[in-house]
Amino acid sequence: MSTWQTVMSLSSEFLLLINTVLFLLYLWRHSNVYKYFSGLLVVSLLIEIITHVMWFQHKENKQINNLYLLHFYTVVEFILITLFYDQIFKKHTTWRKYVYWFICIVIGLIIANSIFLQKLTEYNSYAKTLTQLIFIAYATGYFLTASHNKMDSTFKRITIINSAILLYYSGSLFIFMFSNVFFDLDEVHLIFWVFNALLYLIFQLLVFTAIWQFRQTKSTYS
Amino acid sequence: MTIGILIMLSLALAFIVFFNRSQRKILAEQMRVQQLKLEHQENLLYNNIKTQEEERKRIAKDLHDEVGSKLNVIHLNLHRLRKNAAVSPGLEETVSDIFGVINDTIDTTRRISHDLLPPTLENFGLADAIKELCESYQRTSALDLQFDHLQSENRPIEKMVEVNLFRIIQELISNSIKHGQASQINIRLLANNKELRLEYQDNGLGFDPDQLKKKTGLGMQNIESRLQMIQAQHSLDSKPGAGFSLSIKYPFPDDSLSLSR
Repeated sequence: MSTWQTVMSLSSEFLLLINTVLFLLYLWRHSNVYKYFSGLLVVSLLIEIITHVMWFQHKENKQINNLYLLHFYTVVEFILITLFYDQIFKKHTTWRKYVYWFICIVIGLIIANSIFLQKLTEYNSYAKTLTQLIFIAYATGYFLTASHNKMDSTFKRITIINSAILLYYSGSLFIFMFSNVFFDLDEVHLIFWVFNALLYLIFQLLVFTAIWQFRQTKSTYS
Repeated sequence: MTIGILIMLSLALAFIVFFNRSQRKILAEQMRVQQLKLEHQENLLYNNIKTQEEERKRIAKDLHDEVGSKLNVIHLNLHRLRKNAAVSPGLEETVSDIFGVINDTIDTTRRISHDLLPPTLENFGLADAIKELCESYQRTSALDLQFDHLQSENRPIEKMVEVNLFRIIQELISNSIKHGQASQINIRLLANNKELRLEYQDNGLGFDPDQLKKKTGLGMQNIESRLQMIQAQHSLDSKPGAGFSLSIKYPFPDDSLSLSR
């Protein structure tokens, strides 16, 4: 099982690297929607690199708890994904009016959780669950509002990214929600993390499909 | 927990599938509306050109039958008046002046009526009408206009097609003179059992075809509308300083043998 997790983790990390490079090369300057998503990919890649460096140090008997990275990542991930959807929902007056208040309140809750409930050295399952539920709501909201619109090429690419977000965060919601419960149960813990790695691989594959579509459209028009 | 994950994943997948299906429906509906709009536009265009041609025909007929015949009566009466006016030199001069005006008016009426609907086109067909048009331009201008007619099969052409092709030729010659400043024009009409080909070429200033698309001039738009109406294919070739050429291909419909002029 551990081999599967390694294979899937490495595949998804490799895809994350490719997607980040491709996003920065082709989509970064194209529009703000892609800019924020590129930011998310860059931060994810950096966190992965730092985690690996720490893991190697851990193997050399230098015990380092890297869970505070997850606390940091939760905040950055929330901001970037919200800004990504802000570009999509900004035409809606209510969203535009309250989005920054909403960001501040959620960040406040995440920080409060890290200070009072689940310390930086603990798994921040409450904050992760909250942000994941928000992401699912964003993705669902996108589908509900976009189902009446005409689908152009940009819209198609965003729809693929949105599908990736909905699938990944819906599938991994319960894994993160109960991560503290099965943290000590090695076998169960591993099964769910392999499943999470598989979902992340699907997420990266879908993002890759969106970039591929972008390249296809570009070559058709050029 | 596994059930929870499966439920969440199923819901997410259901959402994505539902969205894709609704998008496909919207796309199909949009295509249908687009198609209807296109059909409506085509019908509008068809009716517009048809009405225009019918109106031209009516005006030409009225000018010829009503105004023309009455002018001829006045002309005859003036002849009678001239005989009686021989006694009065002042009156004879006035009658001569009126004669001049009446003759001019008869000529103008005949020309307008002819331009609106050339009787040659109506009675002898497209080739003779183009030939006559070329001759009229050559008589009145320094333009070198060549017309070749090659026909391997004498297949009747629908009147509507003939009228539209004739109007296109009129518009093209007018454009070559007005915009292209051409001194030479070659027109070839080739007909066989399957299709009718009309090739037009001038040695004028030419233009960039991409720039033409951006312009909103009615001339070329009108030509394209007429071609679209008779379902003819065309290819345009032009470069700045290298003249202009247009090739029109009208494929005869299978039942065109049954259509008489």
